[in-house]
Amino acid sequence: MKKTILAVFGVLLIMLSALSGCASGTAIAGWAGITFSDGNIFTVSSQGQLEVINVSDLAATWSIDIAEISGGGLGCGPSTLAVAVYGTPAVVGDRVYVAGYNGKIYVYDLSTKALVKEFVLDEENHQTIVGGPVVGGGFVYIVSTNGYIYALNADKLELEWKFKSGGKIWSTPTLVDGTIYFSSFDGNLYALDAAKGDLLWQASVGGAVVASPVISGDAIYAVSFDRGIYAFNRIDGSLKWRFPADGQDERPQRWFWATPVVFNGYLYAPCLDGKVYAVSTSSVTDVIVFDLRSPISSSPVVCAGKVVVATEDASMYTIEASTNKQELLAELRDKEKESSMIINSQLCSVGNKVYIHTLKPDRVYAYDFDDASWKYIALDTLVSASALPAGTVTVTEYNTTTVYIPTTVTVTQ
Amino acid sequence: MDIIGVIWNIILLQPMTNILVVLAHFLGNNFGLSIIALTILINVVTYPLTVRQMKSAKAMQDLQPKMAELQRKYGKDQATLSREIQRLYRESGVNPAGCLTSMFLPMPIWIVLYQAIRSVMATSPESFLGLSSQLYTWAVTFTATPINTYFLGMNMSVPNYLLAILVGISMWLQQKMTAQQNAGTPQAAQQAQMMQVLFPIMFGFISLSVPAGLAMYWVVNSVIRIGVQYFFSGWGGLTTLPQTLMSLWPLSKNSIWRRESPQSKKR
Repeated sequence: MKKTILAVFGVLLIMLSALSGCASGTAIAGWAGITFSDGNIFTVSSQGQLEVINVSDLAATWSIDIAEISGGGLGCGPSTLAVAVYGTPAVVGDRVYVAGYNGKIYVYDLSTKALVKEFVLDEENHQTIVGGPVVGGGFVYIVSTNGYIYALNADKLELEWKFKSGGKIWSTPTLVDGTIYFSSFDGNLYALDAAKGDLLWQASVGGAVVASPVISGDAIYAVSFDRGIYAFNRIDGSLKWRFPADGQDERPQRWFWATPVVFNGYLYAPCLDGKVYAVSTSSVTDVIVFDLRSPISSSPVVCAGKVVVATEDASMYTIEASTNKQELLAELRDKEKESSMIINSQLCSVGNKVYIHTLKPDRVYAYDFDDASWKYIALDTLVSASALPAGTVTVTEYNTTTVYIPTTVTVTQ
Repeated sequence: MDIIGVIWNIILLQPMTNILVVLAHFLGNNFGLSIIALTILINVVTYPLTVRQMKSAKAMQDLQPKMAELQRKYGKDQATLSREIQRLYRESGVNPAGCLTSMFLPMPIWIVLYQAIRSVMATSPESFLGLSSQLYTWAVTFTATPINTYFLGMNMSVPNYLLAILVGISMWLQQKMTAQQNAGTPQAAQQAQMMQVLFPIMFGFISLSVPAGLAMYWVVNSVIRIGVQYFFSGWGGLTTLPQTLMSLWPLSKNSIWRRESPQSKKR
């Protein structure tokens, strides 16, 4: 009988460990984007370290742990947990603002390289934060999974106003001309007075939204989980057009996740179906579809006169609607050694260089369009310390085997 | 992804995930109702297995007196006892593994349901991206997601104490219902009693570390099983439940009810 009881216990314990996530489950590591300020780029590694990297030699300037104490779950968790960060850090003056998935805000001082303040965004309604902070006009704007957008005083970091939407807010807001724009899981795009938090207008986008709104001229663009691309008048929120329009055959097959980019009269909207939909900003019937063959969750950038796109399988492309041309820049994933490398973070463009934050392994790549060279810095081998000894940083030349594939473009008129 | 993972994904996880999403859509974007509907659906599909398990259990129960007799006769000679038991099984046409097989066959369904619930709940950005790859390209799956995770004021994506308690209670009731039927030798009875307590405690404990949606599945599943069991063989061990509860009641021996009983008798 003892054997039976032990066997039953064994089976149940295996189930317990498998179900509770000790044995498996989706790891939450974050995928912070990269921002540039004063000769340095800033990002947060998947080990929860704020990394400050000099762009001239791609060497770490300094690095600091963002961690919190936790009891762990059922004895499986460590006592100190690295904080996952999904949004891009914001750097203004001497301050770096980081929004943690744990619902906390971290503010660092660049001159002292120390933490200025760490606080829970909303003690009463504590939930995760996915979108990045936006700083401007004396405010820090932060969105939360609890459905609120918060405006804090940038100096004192005290609440000035907050506004509740009808769903989670994961999209990093966009601040232009005293108006803050953001989208919510409730399927709406909102425009608020940035100083007071008053609602100026709201417009339906058919489904949940994770991407940030994009502003170009008098238009504001949003992409949605309903597989639609929307263009609104940014003054009053009236709809200009929606893609796909009635009668259009070309239909995205999965959600839009990444923030689009506007370049040369086209809105480039990457989709999780592995395609980039380039829609003319002046005519929704002028659409060019670039098939990159892997889901795209990373937001593209414009660099050296080209739109640079990273797919989840770590392939880098340049695409251009005016010439109907897409080129494979490089496959960063070494298929034998780094088969699980992915790119989810938004790209960063500085001059003629583009910076890419990869995961598994955790690296920052730099591609220079001037001499077509690649470099990377391995974030997972960096020494985590306030005083990083010189010369300990690994900077490796990356000799990529660039494979060009024939351009395959579908044109829908 | 290995080949088994791909097959698991295509044959089990993706259909289960999409069924959950579609059901939620047609039930007012209500994930709790979607889980209840799916549990009923799973029980309808696995009904033949359930009946087989109950029949096996009944057959085993019917053999208990003969087993006890064999135990008494050949208890000291394990080899003969084992041979005689096998002969008894053969002659009666009973497969002792049949009961266990039917009991463990639904396990992949639990596991895939757990994965589907986690997938549909998608609380983290990583899991949201994962959900995107699981969804079929039906228009309904896009309009239905993300799904409202709240049901009766409970968040189905995180563990819930009330549901964990309900899991324990409903499973205990289900075990209790079948336990008396299985009781044969004192050893078997003791073993059954142990299982009766262990299973509900363990599942209640597991419910504290999984999304409440899965606990909801277990509760609804147990309630359905209790109903099916009732129609198959009555209340079983639950018929003695009132007496058991009364015996556990601390004031039962000196209770007001007891003290008043003689008076009421006089009247």
